[in-house]
Amino acid sequence: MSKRSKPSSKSITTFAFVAVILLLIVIVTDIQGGKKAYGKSSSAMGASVFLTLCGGDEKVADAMIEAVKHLDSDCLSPTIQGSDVFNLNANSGQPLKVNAETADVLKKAVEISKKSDFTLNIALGQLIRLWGIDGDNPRVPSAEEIEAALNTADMSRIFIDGNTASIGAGQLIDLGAVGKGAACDIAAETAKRLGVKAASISVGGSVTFVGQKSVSGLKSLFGGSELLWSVGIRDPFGSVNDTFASVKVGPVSISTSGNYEKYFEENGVRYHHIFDPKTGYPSDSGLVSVTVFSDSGLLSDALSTVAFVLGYEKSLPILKEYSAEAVFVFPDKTVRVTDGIKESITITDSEFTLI
Amino acid sequence: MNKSTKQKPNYPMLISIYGILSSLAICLSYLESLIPQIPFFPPGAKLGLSNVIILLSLTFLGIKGSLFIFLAKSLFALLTRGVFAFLIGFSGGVGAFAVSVILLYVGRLYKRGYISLAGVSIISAAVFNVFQLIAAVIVTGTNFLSAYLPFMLFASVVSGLITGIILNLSAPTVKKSAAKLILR
Amino acid sequence: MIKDRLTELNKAGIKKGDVIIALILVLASFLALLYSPGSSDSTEKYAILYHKGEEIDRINLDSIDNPYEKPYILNGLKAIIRYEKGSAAFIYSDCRDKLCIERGQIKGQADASVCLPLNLVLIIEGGEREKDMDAVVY
Repeated sequence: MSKRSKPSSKSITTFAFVAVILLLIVIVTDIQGGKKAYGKSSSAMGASVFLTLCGGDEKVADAMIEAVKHLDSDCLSPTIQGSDVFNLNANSGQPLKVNAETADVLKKAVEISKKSDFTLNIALGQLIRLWGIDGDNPRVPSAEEIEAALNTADMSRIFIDGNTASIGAGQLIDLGAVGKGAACDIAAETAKRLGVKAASISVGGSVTFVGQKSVSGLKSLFGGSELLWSVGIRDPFGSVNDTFASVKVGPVSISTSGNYEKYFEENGVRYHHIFDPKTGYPSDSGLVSVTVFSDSGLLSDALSTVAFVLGYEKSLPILKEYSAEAVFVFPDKTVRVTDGIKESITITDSEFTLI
Repeated sequence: MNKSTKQKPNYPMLISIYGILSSLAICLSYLESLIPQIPFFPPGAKLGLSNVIILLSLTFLGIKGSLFIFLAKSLFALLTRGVFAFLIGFSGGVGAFAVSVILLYVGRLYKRGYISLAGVSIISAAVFNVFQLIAAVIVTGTNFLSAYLPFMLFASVVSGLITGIILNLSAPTVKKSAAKLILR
Repeated sequence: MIKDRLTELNKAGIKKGDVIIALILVLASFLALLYSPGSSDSTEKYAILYHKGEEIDRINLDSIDNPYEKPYILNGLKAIIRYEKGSAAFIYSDCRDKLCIERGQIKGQADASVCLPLNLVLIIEGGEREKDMDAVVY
């Protein structure tokens, strides 16, 4: 009888064969799994909407887009007749019943405004209309006009009680500073309610990530970090498609405020659309753009406006208070970040320096 | 004393073996068709897993037998996947078959032991992928050649090595057992 | 040291020639990589549709604000492609295997979606190198 000193080649073969078939099955299901992401783009609220869902389909995407449209046309739009904001503005001074979503946004916005010492001011409607940056004939108003407009911006005249709200007579509220972020929040809520496990939501440039990004099983073996989403930050000096950095994040909301989004030039001076409520003029705090990362879309949107107006140093306290992180860009292409971002940001454009 | 010098093959056994090998090849072919699109491969190209069966049969069944199995598998592919997707895989298969035959039966590389079945497998996989690429370019009339070539060449080394090693270990045993079964 | 590795490999039946062949092919694949056309940075992203090898449509994907669907009828067969900002996809086709639809959205440079029965090839050209970003905040 011959002794075999190593396992017979027959058993090696069978084992190998079975292993290969199993591997195949793993690979096939793995690739199938990684492909489940569903993407859809659309427009709502006057902006582009991009959705990528894991565990969702067209119906869910449409529901999310509907929710955003509802938030716009029924709640926050200042121009669509019948929306809560439109009604409040048209009947300033009178208490009106508003949608639950509107009340919620108003309450949150008011709270942030207070905390920011009214650097965020949602009653700047008259000032914004005065400058006309959204329209065809923007102009630099006179000092008297500006003062008059600022006199209507007293936020203490805004009341919210349950689903009833009222603003001071002659006031105009404008939620442009938080609208897109709020839209992201409502889209995220809708997605979660409909069972979506992970999603990437972008409304007019404000981004919210839900859950953890799903990667195919094999890839996750190699890159097991919690921060899998990757968000690019627009290059404030470049065109729409250029980014200067990318940041790895978990499920957070991100918004950017900058002097490049909406502006007009007169006599060689650029006037952008983010006003300093204290002066009535576009803010001048030494920043070109600031990107804020926080737990909610509305918060990130609001804080990015606040941080842009306050500038780098003065905005650090309020960012800390809300546990938010930020990326600041200066006119000389230098970049400063809060501590939480240091490890996760990668500058992809060599003209920018991180300090 | 008259002794017949040629043994008659056990035909039923032979048929069963053809059957088993053909179904294995078809099985693998089906499995790989489930993969929607291999990253970095042109759309419609396949991994070529069933080639391992063909190569295996070439080592002990001879050219005619292996050709039969190859055609059986290809017919299945034609019937289930449609003409156009079939053409790409088939071109690859024909190239791989031809190359394998040349390497195994003609020339010294394999016979003299310079390369093992692993080497044959790698070359066969490379030819398979290159022919698929050429077929894709001809059929679609566009030129994606340069974009996909590097990945497909690299992939053929990987797949060729894996299947090659399996073959190295299993082929001799299979050959012996098959010989015993067929020539009984 | 190489000889030791070789004898290790011999257990799996690997011979000298095998290793040489493998190395040659790996080298060839890297050479092919060098000679393949480099992807351009930041040019406009286009989706190009070829029918029987000839270009029949070219859509600038960067400038699309509202996604839309475009039907194509060739030799009596119909296919519909949905163009969105930065991506395109087959959403309908008269072919039997529907592999093109299964392929889904393509958005990276040189990504392709092919409908063989209809002789249609949809390829993405240009566009910024896929920086692997899930979203851009602006």
